[in-house]
Amino acid sequence: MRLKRIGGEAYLNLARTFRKSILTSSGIAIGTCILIVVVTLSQTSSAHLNQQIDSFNVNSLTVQSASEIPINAKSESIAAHFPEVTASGRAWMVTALTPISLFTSDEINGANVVQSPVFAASPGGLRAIGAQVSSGRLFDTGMALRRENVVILGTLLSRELGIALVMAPRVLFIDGQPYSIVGVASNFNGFPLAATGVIVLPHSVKSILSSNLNTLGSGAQYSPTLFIHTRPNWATAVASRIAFALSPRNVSGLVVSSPANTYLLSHVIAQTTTRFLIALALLSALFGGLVIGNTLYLSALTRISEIGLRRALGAKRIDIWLQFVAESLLLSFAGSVVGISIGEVGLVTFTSLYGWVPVERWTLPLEVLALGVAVGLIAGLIPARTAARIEPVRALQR
Amino acid sequence: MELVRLSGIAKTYNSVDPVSALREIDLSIEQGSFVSLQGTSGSGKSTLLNILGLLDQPDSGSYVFQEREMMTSSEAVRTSLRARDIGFVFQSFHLLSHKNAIENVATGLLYRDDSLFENRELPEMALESVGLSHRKFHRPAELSGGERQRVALARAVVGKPKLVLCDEPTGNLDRKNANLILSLLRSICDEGITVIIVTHDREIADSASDRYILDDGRIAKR
Ligand SMILES: Nc1ncnc2c1ncn2[C@@H]1O[C@H](COP(=O)(O)OP(=O)(O)OP(=O)(O)O)[C@@H](O)[C@H]1O
Ligand SMILES: [Mg+2]
Repeated sequence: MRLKRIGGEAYLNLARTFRKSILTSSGIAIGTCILIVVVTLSQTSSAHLNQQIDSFNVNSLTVQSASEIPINAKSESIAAHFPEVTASGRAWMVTALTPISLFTSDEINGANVVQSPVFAASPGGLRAIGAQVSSGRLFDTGMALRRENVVILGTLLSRELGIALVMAPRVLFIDGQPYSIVGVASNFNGFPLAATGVIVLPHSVKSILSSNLNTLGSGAQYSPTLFIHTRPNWATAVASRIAFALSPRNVSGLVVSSPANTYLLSHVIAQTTTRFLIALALLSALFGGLVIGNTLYLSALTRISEIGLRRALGAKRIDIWLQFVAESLLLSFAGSVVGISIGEVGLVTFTSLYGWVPVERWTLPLEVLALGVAVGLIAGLIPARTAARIEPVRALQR
Repeated sequence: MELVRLSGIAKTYNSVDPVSALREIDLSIEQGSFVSLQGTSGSGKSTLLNILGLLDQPDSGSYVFQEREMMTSSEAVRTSLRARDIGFVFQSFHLLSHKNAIENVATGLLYRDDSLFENRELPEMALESVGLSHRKFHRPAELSGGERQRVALARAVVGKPKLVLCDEPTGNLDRKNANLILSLLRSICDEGITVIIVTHDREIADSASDRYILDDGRIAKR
């Protein structure tokens, strides 16, 4: 009963300085708001991210050479022998920047030349990196066997050159040498950079590199990556055996990136980011507690005569202490409730904009509320002690 | 019946230099008496009143209140006596600015038992006894100085104390309001409540049944 009375006094005192109370509790409100948003968003987005990674990576893996072991046409066919493998092939970047034009060098007047990367991919590689035709067609094995000089445009480059559709055969000049455009492709799941350049067949690489050496003076040779596409959920199993199949004598000379690695990595990154943000949110909640503590401390000093009067009226030290703690609890409770509510409303709006389903355990708001109130409680302890120690005699002197 | 007995009470403040505020005070006050306390500034009047009101402890001597020795009583005992048996009136009113008149009167019961605190009639009656029923919902800022002191007086007596201590209650008031407060204190006294009033006002002091003068920490009857 006495507690209820003292709580009432605390409430009345906060209500009389309503605006100040709002400002005082805003720190806790901001802290709890950020906390609930960060925790929920990180869970939501990592759930979302994992879905994407799952859908794309549980059926693909890559092999790179870390030694003298070549990744070549033979590697492709070895990989293709795995019954679980649905597509396998090489793809790599050949040059970072090469002049590309729709015109011969005679016709070129500078403005029509685009500097673009050149990639190479075998027909199987194109399929393994998930290339999808948006116009024309992809390479086929016949073109590779006949050693045709053909090229596929990435979507971004095709837009830049103004060739969205490949209806009739057209010629593209890569560093002055003619190639027939067979198609425009997009959606390179395993090799997204390919959208920015042109893709040639592996046999063309040598001539591009040599002419590039002449014109640019440099031409870093990027080593091929073997992309392997498997039946769903077989990627990890293939990954565990592929190195031995490709290079029985030197298994460690190959680097196999299995989906588990990618999954783990992205998971770790997401987790670290979340931890960092949560730490920030906790910090701002603590800061909110500091604001409450500071305000109540000042309040204790400005209310010395009121405290003295209450003591004269028969308030025990504990009654004064309780009143200050109650004020702190009320402030942090109200602040937390407001912060959590704003956070939840914001989350629902934000996630619905992105079409996500918020992932949140139902106890989270309660946990954040408990945290906010706990911070307020701790913040109130010092002011409460100060107030309870004020001697009534000195307090009533004026 | 004797309500208060002080014997050999001494109090020294130890601030920059030690100040002997009270030296060897002997005093006996009968229940229901009206006592005035005069003295020059700094003679120790407020110090004595604080000791009588159990707000402060003397350094030595004996203080018997209602036949109980206060020097050896615990703080809890003295706090509950303060709540139950002692009322205070100060020169500067000390009303709570965020509460209206009736709520301020009710704070006199804030730290009492539930049955008393929840009795809504006591504050009403106390406010009526000081003639302020029509100012019930006014905040202190909306009251005159005299009215504020009457609210403070109602707060002091709402819990039916044995002893009301007033430290220059009319110090901030004009003659007319001072007389009003004096007559209210007289009627409180007539109900059997002991009143001790520190005052510079000769007229008020002379109307008391027992008159004391403090001089440099020593007390003398007049
Ligand atoms: N807290 C304190 N610390 C140190 N000295 C004090 C303290 N309170 C009072 N004194 C000193 O004790 C003496 C008595 O003070 P007290 O307040 O009792 O005087 P008073 O008679 O009430 O004076 P006034 O009429 O001006 O109110 C004074 O000399 C004062 O300076
Ligand atoms: Mg004084």
